[in-house]
Amino acid sequence: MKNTIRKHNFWGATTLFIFCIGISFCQAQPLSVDVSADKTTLAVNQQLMLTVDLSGEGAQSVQPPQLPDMEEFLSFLGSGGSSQNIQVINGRMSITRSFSYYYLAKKEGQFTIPSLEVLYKGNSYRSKPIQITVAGQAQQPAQSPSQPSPTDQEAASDEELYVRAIVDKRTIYQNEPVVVTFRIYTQVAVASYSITKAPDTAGFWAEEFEMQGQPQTREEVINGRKYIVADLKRTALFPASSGSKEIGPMTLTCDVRQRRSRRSRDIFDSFFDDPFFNPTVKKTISSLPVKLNVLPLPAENRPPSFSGAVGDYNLSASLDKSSVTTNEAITLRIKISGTGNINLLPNPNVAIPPDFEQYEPKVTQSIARSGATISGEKTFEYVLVPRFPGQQRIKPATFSFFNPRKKTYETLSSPQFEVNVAKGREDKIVVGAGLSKEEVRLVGQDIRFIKLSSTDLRQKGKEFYNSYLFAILLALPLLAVAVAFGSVKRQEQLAGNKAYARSRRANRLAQKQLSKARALQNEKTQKEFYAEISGALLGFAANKLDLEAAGIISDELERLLRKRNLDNDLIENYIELIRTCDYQRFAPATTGREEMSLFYQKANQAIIQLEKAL
Amino acid sequence: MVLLIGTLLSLAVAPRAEVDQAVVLFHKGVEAYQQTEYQNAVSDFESALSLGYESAELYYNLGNAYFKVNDIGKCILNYERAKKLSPGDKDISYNLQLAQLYVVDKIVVPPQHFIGRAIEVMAHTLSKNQLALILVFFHIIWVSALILRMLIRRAGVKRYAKGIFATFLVLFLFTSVIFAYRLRDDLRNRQGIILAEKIEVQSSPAGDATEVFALHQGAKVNLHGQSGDYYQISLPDGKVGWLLRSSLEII
Repeated sequence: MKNTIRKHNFWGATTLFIFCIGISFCQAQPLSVDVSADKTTLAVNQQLMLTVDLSGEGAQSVQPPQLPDMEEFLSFLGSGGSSQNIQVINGRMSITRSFSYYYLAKKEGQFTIPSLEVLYKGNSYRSKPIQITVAGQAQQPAQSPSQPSPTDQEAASDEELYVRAIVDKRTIYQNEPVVVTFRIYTQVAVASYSITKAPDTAGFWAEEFEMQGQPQTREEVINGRKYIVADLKRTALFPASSGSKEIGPMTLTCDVRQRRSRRSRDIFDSFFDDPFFNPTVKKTISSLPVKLNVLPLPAENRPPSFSGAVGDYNLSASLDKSSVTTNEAITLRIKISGTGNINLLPNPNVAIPPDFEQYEPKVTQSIARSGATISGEKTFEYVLVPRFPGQQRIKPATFSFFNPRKKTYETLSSPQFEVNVAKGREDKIVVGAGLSKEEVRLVGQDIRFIKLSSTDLRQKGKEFYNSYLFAILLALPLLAVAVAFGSVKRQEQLAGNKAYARSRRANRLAQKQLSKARALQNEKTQKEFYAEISGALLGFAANKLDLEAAGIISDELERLLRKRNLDNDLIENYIELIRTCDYQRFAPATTGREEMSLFYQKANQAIIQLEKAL
Repeated sequence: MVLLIGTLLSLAVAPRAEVDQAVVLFHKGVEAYQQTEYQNAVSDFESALSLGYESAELYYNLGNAYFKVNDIGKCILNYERAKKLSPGDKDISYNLQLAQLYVVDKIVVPPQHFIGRAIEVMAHTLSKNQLALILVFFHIIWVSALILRMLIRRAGVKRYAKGIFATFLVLFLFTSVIFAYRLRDDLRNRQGIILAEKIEVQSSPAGDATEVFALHQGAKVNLHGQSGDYYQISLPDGKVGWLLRSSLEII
């Protein structure tokens, strides 16, 4: 830009000089405004020069016209100054003032540069609009140099001046740096340059290398042509993710000293042909985008402590004190140094025991940007305050990274530190520092006093709830309920069911009568004996079957017994005994004692059998 | 009835001479404590315990003595044991609460559902012995009422007995549920107090296992199982781990 300013001053002086000569020749001539473009078809990122020519009598006095806003399509690069042409033909002088402006085509499409309006003495003078067509991407200089433009405004061909992006490798791992160098090749004199568009490095972490002062130039021969070569910019790029990545083009605008064509050989031109006065022309050049293949970090053998660091590092750790009292701070310093993305280096895995109060680590880093790669060191300072006494152990801090050179993961670890924490002088209230106010107030109080007597000292484990006594006390009432229930039921049955009661009493009554009969076992009381036996047999059956004993006869009894589905022999035997009794009672045949005893046995047996059967 | 049970209980108590010795040691300890000789008090109470006798007061006094000699772990252990024997004692609860303020680990107990909390409170405000006594008391009453109802035929008495029977049967069943809950709770949820100054709780019962978290003296943990020299423990807030058996004592 400095150049441009100087140019303006120069043209200003020239204008003044010419003005002094030509002031007296002023003749009325209509003002004409003419706008011309150096080309009407161009590509994106190519430069366009607009020239505004003012001629006529008003040309000298009007203000340079304001150019319309065309930011949508063209970005204004700068004005190229002005020139003045005075022609004297047949004593008539004509003055032409020219203003040039440089633009860069921004996007594709067709558009019109609107007509320019200049006001002079109340009249407005207009230029013709110009149709401009912007085609696609500009062809890249290194790839296919286009034919040098025939117009003398072309500062240098694409072959004569270009910039390239040079990478040190094209296949890299994620987070592994790639160094990209932007190098300018020129066969023309470049007065100055400015980077108009920095390379698009989205998806990369960029770390710029320091360049000392002016770019160092050297000569290089490429394809038989000698070039001046200079490195303009060097950047280490760390791809943040894997996949196919692209480093965007960098665009430069160069001021190129113009070699003037000798079309009009007049006195002024030869005067201005001096290199010092050579005007510069802007030329925009872009580097080609560079494709990179970014490999993901291998999944196998990835240590659990790995958190993304790639490079080559060393780890050192130190602890300033190994013997402290509680609440005295100690500092754990972990330094990681090496090559890689120091800025984004993750914290090492430090396992601080929970008994330490721990603060966020203080991180300091220094990065060297002048060597072949980005290197540096990062220091993590952990301030630890032990809260509780005891032998505390700080487990080794670990740091894992991927070494792209060896293509392996590496894990560094610090030594283990032992800290001997002695009890500080603080009393208990400080220990409870984490308590709420209310709790602290409580701590100030004392515990309640001891109990002065103990009434129930008893053997351990001998508890009432698991003693036999407890079980008995639970079981006994249940037993009592069972007994009470049983007796109540029995009473109810005895009271309420006559038949049942008779049946229960039958055996007892029969036995009573039988024992009476036994006492009558002799010839004299033969009748009474049989009567008693008969009574026992009939009474027993009647009681069992709940019949009226008085009116019962053996036939009816037999019928009732048969209804009960009893054993036939048993019934016949029983009835036979009753009939024998009747026979002996009413038509007695003398029977002996033995016979009576045998009969008694038979009757007794029959009653027992019937009792069982019923 | 309760009086009767009380006398029966005292019959279960062991030979007189040993009890006397334990009582002597208890009073010796109380005296030492009163003269601020806390270390002596600790040893007196401990030897009373070592004779095989215990009581809520003995544990409580021992806890107090340990508090005074700054052994928070054993202090809390003995308060907890005292509380187990006499859950309703206000002094024990107060001192235990106070001692727990000195425990380094602050474990946040997640809030319980209110029904669960009510059962918890009912099951733990009385000791198991007290619960058992109440249970027997209700049992005998409802049984007596039932028998009366069965045996006596006078309608007035019968109706009266029926009311008592129903009321005490319900009370008995309710107490049984609480007692059963408490027995199950005590069987399942054994708890321990950390006695070591600091112990690392590990993820598995092995020497080189990773440390999950650390606990300090006086912390109360739930015990679940054991493997070798390790107990599996959990905290009320859900943390689980293994620690050396020697570092804690069961309440």
